[in-house]
Amino acid sequence: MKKRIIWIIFVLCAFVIAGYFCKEYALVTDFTNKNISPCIRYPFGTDWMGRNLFFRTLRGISISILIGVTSASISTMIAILFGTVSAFGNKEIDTIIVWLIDFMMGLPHILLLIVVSIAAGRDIKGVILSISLTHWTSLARLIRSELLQLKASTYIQVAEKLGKSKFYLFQKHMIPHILPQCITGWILLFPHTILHESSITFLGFGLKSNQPAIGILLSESMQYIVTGRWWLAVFPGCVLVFVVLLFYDIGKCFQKYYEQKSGV
Amino acid sequence: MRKNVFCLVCILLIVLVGCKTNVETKKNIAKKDTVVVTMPVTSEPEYGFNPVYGWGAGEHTHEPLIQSTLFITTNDLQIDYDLATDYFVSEDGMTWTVTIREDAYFTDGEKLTAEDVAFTYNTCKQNSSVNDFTMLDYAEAIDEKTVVFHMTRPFSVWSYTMALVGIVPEHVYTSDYGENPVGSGKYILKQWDKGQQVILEANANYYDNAPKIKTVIVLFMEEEISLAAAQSEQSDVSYTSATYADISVADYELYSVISLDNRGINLPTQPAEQKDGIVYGNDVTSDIAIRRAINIALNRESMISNVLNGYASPAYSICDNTPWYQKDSEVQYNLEQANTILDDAGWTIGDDGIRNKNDIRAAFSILYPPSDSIRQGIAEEFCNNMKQIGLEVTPECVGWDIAYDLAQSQPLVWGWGAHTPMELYNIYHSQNGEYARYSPYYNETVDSYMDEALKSTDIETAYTLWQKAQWNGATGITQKGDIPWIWICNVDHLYFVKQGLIISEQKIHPHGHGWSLLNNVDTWEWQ
Amino acid sequence: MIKYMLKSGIRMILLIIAISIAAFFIMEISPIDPLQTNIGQTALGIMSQEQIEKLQNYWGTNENAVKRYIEWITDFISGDMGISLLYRQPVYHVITQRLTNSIWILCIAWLLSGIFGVALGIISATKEGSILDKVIKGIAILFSSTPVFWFALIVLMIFSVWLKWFPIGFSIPIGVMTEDVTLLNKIHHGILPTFVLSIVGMPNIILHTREKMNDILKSDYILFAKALGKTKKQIILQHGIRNVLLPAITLQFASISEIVSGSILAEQVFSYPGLGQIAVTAGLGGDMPLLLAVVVICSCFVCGGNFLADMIYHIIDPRIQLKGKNT
Repeated sequence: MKKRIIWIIFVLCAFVIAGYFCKEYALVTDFTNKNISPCIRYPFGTDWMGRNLFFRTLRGISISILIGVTSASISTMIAILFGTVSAFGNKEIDTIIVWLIDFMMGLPHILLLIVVSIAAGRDIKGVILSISLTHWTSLARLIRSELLQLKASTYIQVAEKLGKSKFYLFQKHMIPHILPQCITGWILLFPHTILHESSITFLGFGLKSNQPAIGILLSESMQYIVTGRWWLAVFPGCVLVFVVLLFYDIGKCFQKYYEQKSGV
Repeated sequence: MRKNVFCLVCILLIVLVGCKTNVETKKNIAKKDTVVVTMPVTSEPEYGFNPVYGWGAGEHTHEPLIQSTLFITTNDLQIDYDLATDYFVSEDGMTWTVTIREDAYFTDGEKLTAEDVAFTYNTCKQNSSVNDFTMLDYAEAIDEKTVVFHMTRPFSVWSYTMALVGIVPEHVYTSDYGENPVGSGKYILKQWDKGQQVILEANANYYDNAPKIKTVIVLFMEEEISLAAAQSEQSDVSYTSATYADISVADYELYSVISLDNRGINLPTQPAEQKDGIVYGNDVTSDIAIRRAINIALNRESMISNVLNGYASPAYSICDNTPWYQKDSEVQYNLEQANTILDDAGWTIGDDGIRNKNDIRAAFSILYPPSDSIRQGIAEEFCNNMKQIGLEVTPECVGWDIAYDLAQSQPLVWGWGAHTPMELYNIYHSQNGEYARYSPYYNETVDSYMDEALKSTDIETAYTLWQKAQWNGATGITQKGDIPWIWICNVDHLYFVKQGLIISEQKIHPHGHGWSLLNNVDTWEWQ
Repeated sequence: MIKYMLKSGIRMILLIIAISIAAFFIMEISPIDPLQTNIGQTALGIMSQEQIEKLQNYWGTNENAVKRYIEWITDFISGDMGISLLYRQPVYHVITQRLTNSIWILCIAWLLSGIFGVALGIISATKEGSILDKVIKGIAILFSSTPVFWFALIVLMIFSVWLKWFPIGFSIPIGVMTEDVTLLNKIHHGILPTFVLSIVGMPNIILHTREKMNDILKSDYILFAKALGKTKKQIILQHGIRNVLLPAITLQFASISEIVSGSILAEQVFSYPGLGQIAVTAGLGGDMPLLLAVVVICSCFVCGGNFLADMIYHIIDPRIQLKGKNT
């Protein structure tokens, strides 16, 4: 299990690093070599401006991963903050936060993303902001209910009676308990963030076309798919699905790992 | 479970087959005098077919089809009569008197009178969106067939405005006119499925030759769907662009129309200076040597073949092929000369191949709007071109919401091309004695020629003045002059046309794919 | 019961109002200038400065926000949704047109994804570990990792462009008068979007149902039933499905949000003139009244769905009331 996790992390890091080194190459245009189907020199083919799709895909996926990591992290932090405050705060605060969660969930995700990214100005900042602000709700809910359950459990109540401070309890008992949840939640957020990033970019509210993000590659490919240039849509799409699956898998591994550790 | 699935599949198949045959039979009946034309989604007039809100005018100028106009522009962009039979401009250019024909009727049977014309223009003046009526004071009908326009300032190109405004009937005009338009034009709006299609039917009582094509169906779709519509033979004319031009579609031919649809780049002529949070001017392009070098180091031919697959013609001004075009705008591609100009001006090549002068690095960005692959390609190829003369240019994509402000300091790939010299005016003429609106530039002589041109009462004199504004032998906006804008190409408008359909000769298309193709749809023919 | 219903009803309405306020003010701080975004560059190029100022007033770039919100909400409650800036028509008019196109696709896709999702989830759970289970699970994970628009694109490519079975877009056939459009035509045009949307909603439901069913099958009472000598089929039909249905229903209502999200993307790909398409147009064009109306309507769907789920839960299993406050 551990080995598998390490492998996956290694592959993901490789993507990011490769993307970093492709930065320059992903942007080079060469109009003498446009629309070439996949071959040895261009494993993923080239697009209508003769850009090497292989480099662009690597670069794109690394941008997507970075955006995913950033916004998933921000989301998780918001979730932890709201979850704990809600569980430990007084009743009014709890009501407000529960209400806020309902409020965020009361609108379809994409629509919410559209609205927020319009406000944030339709660029990379806007994408990160809108995704982070919209994805914390279910994790916050989970943390809140876990903590509430914990608070009601006997051993915590005994410890409280023994005069341990709230901070001590939180640090000694609560954190170890919710940390695995948070980590898995954090990892399982990636697939969502990455998919939503590409969707919102596809609709025209996300990244700009001089950033070779996967969403951009796919929306560009949309123009050429009818002309039989399938490679433009297929390769970036497959790499995206592959990376999302990796994240999914790593999340599941973590989940199992902690279940095994705590379940006995 | 399995049985159910099987049943479901069967039902689906039956439905499918049913639909297919249904569609097929429809197709066979509806031919000969029907055309199906695709257009970009942006061509659908969201506000309806109402000239008051800009139907026929604006971003993409064309004949309103459903309504008729006082004047029309001919194939070579001269002015000709439609509803008007004669016109007269007062000495000071402040009143225009137009007489109209008496055999024009609206499709509800009412006669079209000067009252309707005056009503249309006055309503436009109050409500207009994209069409500019600020130079009109008011319109008045002095009898059944004579209308007088009182102007607020002399405006010699008023006849070009009059070629855009469809006349609406005063007696049925309400706020939802755009959805149920009544006009005196060649066609009648039969049906409008918003977001999808428009069906037009020939007006049997049209005052001129009866339309040969009886039904026109216009579909609004994205470019790639438009191509797919041709591939699946669902359309007769599918608009397309250079990116798809190398594809061959069975039974369809590529039809190309030359246009005024130009692509050009602004080069701010002032050094950078901040004002109200916006930077005006650019330290590199403010050097005239840089601007001149760019203009001749730009390989228009290779750019056209690379980016546009050859479907464009080189442009040297904003108004190539118009009556107000100045022939001296043309330049030759010459890399050596460009390098010499820069060397002479003191721009020396640094270690990294980029030029420097007084610690200013010859680097700037070129901006292009999103989801426009052609402009993106132009920007990219422009950078490749400029590298050869030691300029470092970086392409950058910006949305229209900020593009206008950024373009005050950075070059942007623009697309212009309207059937009126006003464009020339708004690009090069200064505003309130300061800089021109879109890119910092000011030249007193150029301004005065254009002011004069607007005041002139004779259209021919005006044309000459417009030309002089561009180059009068001593100063102007051409290569020998200040060259504040560089023009790259006029993009051909491309269509996949079904074999057997003969499209009549098109007038030079304005900027934007769209309705102007249908200007003369009444004279198209099936063979 | 009625008291509970009333309480959640009021809560729902408050939520929708809050969403409208938030949406309004978020849009308000947007740096997008609707004038520059909407009036094409060429159109601006032949316009005088006076005319531009006139238009700025029309697009309301110069007015106070709070005042406008209050005006808007009072009108909205009295049934007047305002005038769309882009379409220059009552918003109500624009929305109803689009909604009628969208609603049946959404409903059918929603039902299909629910029915097939639960069925596949149950099948997969009962055959845990078998190849069938692995295939179902694998496909579900694969589809939940696939961007909706990309999947729609591929479907469009295969069925419309290559096989030519379906039209490449729209909700009605080309060049046919409204009165001649048959139900069959409409179905023909709706199949692909419905198909894509059903697939989109399914993976989540499959995976959840599968997990729940697995839990149930491992529980003590199933063990007991087994000991009583009931066959596997009996156990699943009598105990499994009954117990899995309740969480399935909640999940089903919660998935409304996902289906609506998916429809925004799918309609864009299939150029289907529905609510989703109008949301994107309004968003890109900065048409505030229209976008706000879409936002409010979508949130009505989602909140309404949650409300219904709550009620159904209540009716089926009144015990929930005790726990209700925590969830």
